[in-house]
Amino acid sequence: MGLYLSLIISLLSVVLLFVSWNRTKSRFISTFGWFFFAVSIFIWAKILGSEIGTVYALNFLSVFAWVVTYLKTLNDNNWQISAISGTPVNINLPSVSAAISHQTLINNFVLFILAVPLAGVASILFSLAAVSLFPLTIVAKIGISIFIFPIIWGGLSFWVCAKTKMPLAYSLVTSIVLISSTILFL
Amino acid sequence: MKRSLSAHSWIGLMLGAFMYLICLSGTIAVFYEEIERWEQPVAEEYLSYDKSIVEQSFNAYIKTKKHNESSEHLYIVFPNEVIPRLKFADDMSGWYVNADGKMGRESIDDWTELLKGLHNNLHLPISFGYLFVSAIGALFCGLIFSGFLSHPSIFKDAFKWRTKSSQRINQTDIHNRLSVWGAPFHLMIAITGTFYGFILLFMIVFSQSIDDLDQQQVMDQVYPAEPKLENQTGEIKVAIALTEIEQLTPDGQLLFMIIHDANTEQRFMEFFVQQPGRLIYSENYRFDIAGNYLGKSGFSDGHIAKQIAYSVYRIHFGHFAGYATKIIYFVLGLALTVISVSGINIWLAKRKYKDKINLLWSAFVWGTPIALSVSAITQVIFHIESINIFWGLVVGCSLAGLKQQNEIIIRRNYQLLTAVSLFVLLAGFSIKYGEFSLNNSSLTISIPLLICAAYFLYKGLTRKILSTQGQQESQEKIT
Repeated sequence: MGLYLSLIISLLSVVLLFVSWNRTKSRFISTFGWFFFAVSIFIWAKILGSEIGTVYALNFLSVFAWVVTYLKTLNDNNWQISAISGTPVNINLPSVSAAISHQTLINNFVLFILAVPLAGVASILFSLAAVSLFPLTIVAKIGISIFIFPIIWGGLSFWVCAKTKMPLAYSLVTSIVLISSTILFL
Repeated sequence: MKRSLSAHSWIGLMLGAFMYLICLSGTIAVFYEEIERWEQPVAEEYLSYDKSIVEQSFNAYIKTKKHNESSEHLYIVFPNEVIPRLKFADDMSGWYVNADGKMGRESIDDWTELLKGLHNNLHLPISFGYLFVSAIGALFCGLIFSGFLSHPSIFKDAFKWRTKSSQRINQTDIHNRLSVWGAPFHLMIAITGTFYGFILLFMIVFSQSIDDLDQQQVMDQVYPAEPKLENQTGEIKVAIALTEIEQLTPDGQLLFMIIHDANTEQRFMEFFVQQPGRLIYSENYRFDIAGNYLGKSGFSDGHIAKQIAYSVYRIHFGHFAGYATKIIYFVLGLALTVISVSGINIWLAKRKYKDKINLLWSAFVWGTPIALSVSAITQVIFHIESINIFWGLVVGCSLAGLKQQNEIIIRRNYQLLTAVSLFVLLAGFSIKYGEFSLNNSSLTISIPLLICAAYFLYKGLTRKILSTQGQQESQEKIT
């Protein structure tokens, strides 16, 4: 019974969000949608425990949203002829894209070094240095740092790639490495 | 926004192919227990067992030559709902045990290991491979952030999917809808996936930063230190320990038991018991060889950070709350695989030209299922070491794509080849295992494989390849 109720509440929350998006654009309805999503977390947690219940509530939000999106496409007849079936056949293929110059390759390599290994080292050191400043147990320090580290690395890589001024990005990443190392090892 | 999109493309292009392999193998690996059971359908199955028979049989197994005497660990894997079999194993091989305690069939799980190895370390050397795959998990977080920031109309397009529009718009809508709504799952998978490769490195770096603690002492804070025992000789009293565990954790589901330092006199037993309603992998109970209780690891009620860290496995693989979770994880994992492919497809479609990269990518994407199914034939049916066969086929199929005229032909041909190889796999499996190929353990995997084969066959046979003239006509209709 509880399982069906939680499934219905999860579905209801997505349907309300969809109705708000599709027809009314009403903030009132979308707020209700998010409210029911919060309720669904609570009900799932009641049935399956707080840990498993939260995971289920989040996952069903994804799955139901995809189902609603797919069902909507079945009613959409307002699009023109399919272009997919007309994907080019027998096209003339050049050997490999001639657009890739040596300078582009060098720039991309430099960006790769900065965004991946250097940003990775900076993230490890920064996450460990940041938690070491707080009065936490060793287990908590390691536990928190390893879970914030991928977020920092991902965020840093994104920032570096989005930055047009490479020297500034290099300076920031190098500074993070130096300051974090000082906190940790000196 | 333009810069965010550029960063998203750059990171996506760097990771795309690896992400596809990791996501596809991870999606299938959700069912690795079922696949392991399918690989050896002849083993005797039962759920309940006699503790004294297990003890006698295990001690007899230790004395036989069926295990490697230099192995540092010995295992008893207890029957459960997913794999209702009792297994004895060392670090290299394992044997199933019949209900009467006699040794049964050898455990065969080589293709399952191939699949898990592809997901965990891309078959690279273990320590580097884990780091590499985990780093991809961390950079995947960057993709999630940049994806959101480069998508200004995230709410405006929340349920939009223009299936009959151009290929680029169609692919963009698929990519964005699957990404946005699946974001909580994706972030969870990225963070937990990063954990495996980096936990050891974190403990090493952290121990270097503390003056009065060495590396082992830091590790002991997270994973409890091994008990100091001496003169642990004689028979292993498994039955006494099992009785004690029933009292310690009456609701727990016994997973397996490890004998640590099995080839020394410091050996001891550790029982892994799954706790109902919890995401932690298990609570671990330790005993000496005589069956005296030594204590538990504290994963269920220890420090909250320790509990979270020990929950990573179940969260990542979806091994909690039964079969329904596995199906949901399979769907979510498949969506993530589609996101990996559609991301590159969008980039290819945005270019003003087509070149061999289009063919190579399409051939790589559709060639990987062929490589998986053919490696399953060689490994499961013929027991040939198949990692090289798998990679040979991935490279071979990708290069063979360059000889094709376009992506649609590649897709059609490779879908048909996948269907044929799956049919051959199922036929070979039926011939090899006879009536056992129709038991529950076999059908759990064989039926989904049959459905996949039928789907690929249908898609391959019904895909229309328009002539150049037909294509031009349809272009004219659009304009």
